[in-house]
Amino acid sequence: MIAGDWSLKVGDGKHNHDMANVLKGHKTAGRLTPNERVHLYEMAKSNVPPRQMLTNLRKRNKNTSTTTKHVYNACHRFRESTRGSRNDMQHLLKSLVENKYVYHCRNYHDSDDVSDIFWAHPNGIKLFNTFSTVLVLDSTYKTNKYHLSLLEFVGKTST
Amino acid sequence: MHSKDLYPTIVVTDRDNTLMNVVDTVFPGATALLCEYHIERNVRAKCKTNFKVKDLKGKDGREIKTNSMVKKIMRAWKDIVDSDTEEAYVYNCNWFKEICEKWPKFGEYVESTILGPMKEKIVKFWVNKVMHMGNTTTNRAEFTHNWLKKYLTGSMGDLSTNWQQLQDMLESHHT
Repeated sequence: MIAGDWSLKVGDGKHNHDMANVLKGHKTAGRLTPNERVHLYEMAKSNVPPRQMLTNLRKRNKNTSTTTKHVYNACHRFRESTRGSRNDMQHLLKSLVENKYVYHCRNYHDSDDVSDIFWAHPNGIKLFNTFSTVLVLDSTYKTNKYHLSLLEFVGKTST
Repeated sequence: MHSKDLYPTIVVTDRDNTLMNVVDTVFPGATALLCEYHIERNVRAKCKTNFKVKDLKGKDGREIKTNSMVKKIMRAWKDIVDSDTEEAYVYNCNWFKEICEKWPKFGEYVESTILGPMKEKIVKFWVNKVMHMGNTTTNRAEFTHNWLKKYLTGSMGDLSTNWQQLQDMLESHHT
């Protein structure tokens, strides 16, 4: 743009309308307060679906102008913050190690693709060592996006 | 299970043919049992498809409701499964056949596919000869699946989310 081609003149610098009564959908007004954010993260941690989080926020503060978009964004940010730059498998292995799980991975002979993963909760192992008489195994489907079946080991205690 | 001594002595499966066949080769010496509950469901399903409303006429000409008939048959079936002597088994079987007289197809099905080849695996008299400690169904596994799926939020989760949800489930279970 060449200077001098056109110019802008402000005739009247005042707003020509009042402030809106309802601030719903307003980006800044709908921002979560630090308290709300903590609360929301806590809900995300215990697997509350985002659609129900808004109901909860509404109950705490009737006049909130937070929208679903804010909630979903916050949830996404929470997930990002826990996972960091690790990918799915890396994060899984990290959590397994951190929680002292017993685990074992196998891959296909001709590639590095993971074919199956086994993991056992430390308590589960303790229980199995004590009550190993009855063990029920069954696999179930539709649990993950990789179409891996999930084989569950269920033990039975005597009490 | 490295030692042969630790091989299971009893294996309960549902009526999946591959599973049933493989038990003998993988665990030689193990007694194969069948899940009572699955068999019951199978008989009930067959029972419902074989009964048409039109053939349900009582002795006095009044119509009998399908439900009450199914209930009656299932009660007779339960008696068969619960027979604890061979005589009781024969007696219950005869009673069952008598009820199912009007639907020969159903009677035959039960006779030839369930009672014939696998009576040793479901009827109490034979089942109770081995030590199964009350495990004659696979319900426990089915129940856990159901419970687990309440924790998993969908069928498209990735592994670490799934793991986290599983972990939550276990932690709330192991108090």
